[in-house]
Amino acid sequence: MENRAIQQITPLQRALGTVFRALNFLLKIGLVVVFVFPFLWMISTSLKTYPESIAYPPSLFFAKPQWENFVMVWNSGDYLRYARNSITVTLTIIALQTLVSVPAAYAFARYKFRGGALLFGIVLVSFMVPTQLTFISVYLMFSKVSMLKTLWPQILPFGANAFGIFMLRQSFKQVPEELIESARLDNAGEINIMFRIMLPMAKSSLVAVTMFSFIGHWNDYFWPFVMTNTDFIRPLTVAIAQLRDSEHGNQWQLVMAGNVILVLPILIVYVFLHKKIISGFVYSGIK
Amino acid sequence: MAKIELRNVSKRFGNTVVLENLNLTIEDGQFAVLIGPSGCGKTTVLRTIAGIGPQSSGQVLMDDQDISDLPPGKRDLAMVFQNYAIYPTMSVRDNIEYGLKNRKVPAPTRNKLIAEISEIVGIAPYLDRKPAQLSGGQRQRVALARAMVKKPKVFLMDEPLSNLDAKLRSQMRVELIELHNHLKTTFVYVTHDQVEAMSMADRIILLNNGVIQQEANPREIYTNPCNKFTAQFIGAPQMNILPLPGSDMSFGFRPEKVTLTEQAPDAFLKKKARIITREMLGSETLYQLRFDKQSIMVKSLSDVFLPGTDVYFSLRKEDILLFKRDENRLYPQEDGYGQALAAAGRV
Repeated sequence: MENRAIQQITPLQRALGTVFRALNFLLKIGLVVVFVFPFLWMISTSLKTYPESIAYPPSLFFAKPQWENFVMVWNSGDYLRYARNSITVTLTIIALQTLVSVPAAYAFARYKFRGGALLFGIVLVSFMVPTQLTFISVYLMFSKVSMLKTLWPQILPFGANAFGIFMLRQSFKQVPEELIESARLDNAGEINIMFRIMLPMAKSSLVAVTMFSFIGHWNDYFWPFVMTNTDFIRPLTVAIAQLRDSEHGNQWQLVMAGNVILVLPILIVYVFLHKKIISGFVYSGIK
Repeated sequence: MAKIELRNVSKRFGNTVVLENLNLTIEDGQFAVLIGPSGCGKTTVLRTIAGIGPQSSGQVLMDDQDISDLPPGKRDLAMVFQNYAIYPTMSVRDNIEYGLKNRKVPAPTRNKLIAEISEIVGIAPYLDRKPAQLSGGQRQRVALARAMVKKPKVFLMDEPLSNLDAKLRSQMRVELIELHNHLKTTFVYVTHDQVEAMSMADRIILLNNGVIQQEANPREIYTNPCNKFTAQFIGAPQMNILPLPGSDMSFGFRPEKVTLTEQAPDAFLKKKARIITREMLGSETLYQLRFDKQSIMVKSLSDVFLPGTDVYFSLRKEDILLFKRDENRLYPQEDGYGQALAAAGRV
């Protein structure tokens, strides 16, 4: 089979193959530039002086790294509190979501119950409704129960993650039935089966979903912006956006330094987990 | 050790009836093999006993106690699945230990049991490996060890050897027989492979369409089948069955009972036929013969007959089995046996 395929290749096909490979490579380089350049721009700007940051024509390079930009940003407000708010909100959301998504996905994947398909449909639909449609009513709800001065308006609306339920359900569905039957014969209860048998097999999906959710909520700007009235409960994203409209004009080097502070935790987590995240998405596509 | 009894067990999947009012007793310590074509309900019977595919109606008894409502984990039985169903995220040791932990067996006892069983099935060197690092045969042994370590009263096995290659399969067959002799526990074994059934069973239970066709030891089921289905299901090549001249009955004979000769012999049944094909199997040769628009298979120790030539085939009276119109056997003590046998001789 392979031999015959090799014999049939003509010089024209070989030339086309080379051209195709070159194009393929260029396209990948192009993609890398598109994604990496803004990132480099952010880091370089965060280390510039103010005149350098507004210089025209702009330059990617700076004369001398201005590390004090970071110190200035950190001291311009109660950044420790903002960071703590961001961490509390994001981690609580992740914990709640895991607590809700795993059993929900297990039930959707493994049990047949009345209304199950309808319920799963509702979960999927809720995944498609943009938050911009719901934020006013949610805000009013929290105002009625006088929770606007707490972190809860940033946490509770995200307690269930429809995308996470969907992803986990798909990977639970791929676990062969015999494994569960075998566990039942081994005298395992449902909770035991869910956490000791099913969840380890869906580990990649769980990590991917958690990472996605973590990045999404850590970087979320819109929701905390509309749900917070005082600095006391604001997260990093909202605080850093405020650097921009301070009275002395746009201090881009400071805004960018703030952004670097913001994305640093995500970068650290990603470095440790990126293999798991990628395999989570790859395996969910293959049976 | 336990006796298993099914009473009036029925199983339906939606509108499909798989088993209807099945009654079956498997004696304590027996190696019982459930065999039949695919879809005959043999795996359903096994799952009913295990409790993982509960019956729609009827009772399952173990040692005369009704266990129909007991969950699978409380039934004191262990199952080996066709695809082994080893937990892929756990090491071999954790796989074997899982059931014991769930039964709250204390750690020193667990370790002793694991050491003992893994020695018996020969997986002691692999205890810390993950299942993905094992070969098919080793995984099979892990599945066996996981079942054995629970010291169950009954072993259920669902085609456990069908994923192994031929050589390993015959080796494991011998090991399972030895294991059964050693443990003296009740084994219920499902297979579609008649070689496994014949070689391992104390008792073969042949199922078709959810109905037990015959229950007997291997020798009995081979030499004395009670109906046409059993006669043709067990034995390879299958039993020759021909219509009985002048009636709506039929008669059959095993391919190895036929004698081939070049000259007309003096025998109860003799007939001239043409050899159509010849298959050399080494120690034996298979011939396909044709006469009067009918064809039969013959298994012979002689390989001298050539395709295209004419031969005489002959049979002894005692090697002919008669079947009634309803496909059940016509036994020698029944009315009309002599007459029918004489008709067979005149073919």
